[in-house]
Amino acid sequence: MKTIWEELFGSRHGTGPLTPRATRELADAVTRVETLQQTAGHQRILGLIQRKLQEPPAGEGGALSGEESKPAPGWDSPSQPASEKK
Amino acid sequence: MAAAFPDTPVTLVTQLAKSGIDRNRLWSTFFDLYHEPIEMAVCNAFRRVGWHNVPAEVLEDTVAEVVVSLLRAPMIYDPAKGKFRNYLYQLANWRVKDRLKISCREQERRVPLESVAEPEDPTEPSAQLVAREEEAFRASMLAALLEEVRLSVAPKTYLMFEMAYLKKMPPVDVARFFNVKRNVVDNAVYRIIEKLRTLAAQSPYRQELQTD
Repeated sequence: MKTIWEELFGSRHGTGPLTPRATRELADAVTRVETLQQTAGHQRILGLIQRKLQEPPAGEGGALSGEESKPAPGWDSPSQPASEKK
Repeated sequence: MAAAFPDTPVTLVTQLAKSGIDRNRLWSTFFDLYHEPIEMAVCNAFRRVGWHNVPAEVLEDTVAEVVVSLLRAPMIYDPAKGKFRNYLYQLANWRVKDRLKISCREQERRVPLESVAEPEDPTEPSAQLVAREEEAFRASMLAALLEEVRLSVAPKTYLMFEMAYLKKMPPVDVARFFNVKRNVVDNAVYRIIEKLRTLAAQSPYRQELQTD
């Protein structure tokens, strides 16, 4: 019986209704994500992000950064450490 | 704080932006969907540098730093140059290294030796960590796909699908609940599945799932 991955992304992906297994996997994935959203940790991190976004960006005033922090080859750096921006 | 949200291959975020939803809602929706893979990437990045049993507050703070880095990215992520999840993992590694430096420099927040000395699960091979990371990312991608579908159909249609298909309520009961004929529920389910297939067939989603 095809998995949700075979159904949606496989080279010979299906048509019509999903298999029972794929349906179950889809429902499980949604439940998994929704369950995490209900946790106190999730709310705490949302609060942290909100607070950090209201602070001035790190990196301008001697922010710390990983010595080995390098952009992946061929990519635009998402947040190059301050020590490497000089 | 006016940085644009990175343009991810998972176009949910782009669609949210176009629909005029405010910025707070935008990033929080992204985090709602991608919390687990981000947290797992951070957790595994700590493990790779030898810090096991990371205190919850340190983990949560680093996860928040990763999301803030994404939001403040001066350059937009380019799907043509690689997968978003690899970009995300790289970012997690950087923020973990930043965190380690902070922990080492601040006397009161020095890394407790006991937390570094004993791995949480010394038998867990790195391949297993990668597998768990990918599993979480895939679950998030599915949820994001469904979210995108949800935004493209009438709320009632999606609700019928959710009740009849995901929550396994008998379609006749769903039809009764909405005061419609049974075939309306079946049509709603069919339409959503078709949309899901169409969306999944788009190359950015496929690219994310290909193995390296």
